[in-house]
Amino acid sequence: MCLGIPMRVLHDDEWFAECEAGGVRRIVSLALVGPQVSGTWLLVQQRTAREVLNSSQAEQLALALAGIDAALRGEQDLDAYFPGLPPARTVP
Amino acid sequence: MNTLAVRADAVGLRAADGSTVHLRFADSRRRCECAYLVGSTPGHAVERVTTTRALCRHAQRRAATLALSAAGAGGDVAAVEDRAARTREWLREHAVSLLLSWPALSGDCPEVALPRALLASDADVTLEHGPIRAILEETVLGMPASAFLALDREGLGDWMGAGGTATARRFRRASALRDARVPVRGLPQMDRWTASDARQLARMMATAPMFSLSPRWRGRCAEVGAISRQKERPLVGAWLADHGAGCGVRLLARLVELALAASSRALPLSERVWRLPGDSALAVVETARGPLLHWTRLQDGRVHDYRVVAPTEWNFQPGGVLARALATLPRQGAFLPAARRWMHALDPCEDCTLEVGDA
Repeated sequence: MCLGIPMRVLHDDEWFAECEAGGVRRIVSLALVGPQVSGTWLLVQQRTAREVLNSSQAEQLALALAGIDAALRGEQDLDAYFPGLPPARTVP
Repeated sequence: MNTLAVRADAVGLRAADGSTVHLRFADSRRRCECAYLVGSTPGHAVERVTTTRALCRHAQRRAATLALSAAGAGGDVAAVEDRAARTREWLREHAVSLLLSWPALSGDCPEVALPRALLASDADVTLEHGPIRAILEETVLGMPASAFLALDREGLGDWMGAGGTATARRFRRASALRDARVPVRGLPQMDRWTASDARQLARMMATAPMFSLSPRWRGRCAEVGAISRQKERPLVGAWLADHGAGCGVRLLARLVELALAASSRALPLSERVWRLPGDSALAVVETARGPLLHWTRLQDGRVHDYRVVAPTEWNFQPGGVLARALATLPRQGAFLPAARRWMHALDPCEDCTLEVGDA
């Protein structure tokens, strides 16, 4: 269902970059987004960078995906994974 | 044949010699997980869906908004007019598949101009006007979009034979492949779905835990995507008549939709919603890869249950079109290249790998 993963560029050239997320490194195609400098955050799907993210967007997405993982582990209170939204269980 | 079970982390398919082929998705557990929405207010659930499904966020937002509103969310969710954004999302997926992924699979250089132009376009535009249309016609089609759509069998053959663009040359190579041919058993377009169909889909989504990974239409597998929408179009029929229902026609259908968008004909951005008993509702929104289904049930103004069927699941399940293709491929020699061509032609929404096991 079109899950994109935020990854940070470690090393780049014109067409590919070595990217990292959560300790996992992958070679990612830059064909869509063009050359990017080290430290840039990318939204990656199927080993292709699909969008350039700012650090805030990358952090929000990483946290939200961690929220899905937390739900899979059975956690009930997920508000901390979705900051900026009103608490899910206390809004009248 | 093709009766292996679906698990959350892999789909077992049967190859022609009876051996097992496991199709593993990179993020399948996350893909089908909706528990993170339970307990949310409807408005909050829309934001959570949109945040986590960043690549198809406009279609996801639309489906979630429709379903939650119909289930009784009232003013807690606000409908947003987003047809332009959904169109861009749709066209970008086709452009990435045809002009970046396909060249990579074929050993060609990526054709970055159109995908990058679509990515950069935030304006309320479609392909109909301006530079994006020019890129499509000059670098991809090599002719006006309306002329491309009007090609007959001979014209299509001439277009490929002349090889005026890299895309035309790739289609020429695809037309010469002798890969599996799998007739299109398309999912009926949603305007033909009945209230009974909606109730049946909703019941299965609500009660059958694996239905989200192996959806059926009236008990049978069905193919989704551009080929399902465009199979009656004359240009698609011209390909089918000369080259059969292999990978190539699935790719051609996507190119047809890019050309349609550039020739004043709107994409079929269909959507429907059914209010169902017990504060529940089913919404379906058409996307590049096929229909996206959201079902939800509210209780005391909050999400009590939520299920999603992503378009990818229709094609990538036992008995689905990929399984039918793999079941005809000889395991010797070119099995994996042919299988990868089929996977690309069917365009899964996330990274997946094939693992070939023993008979």
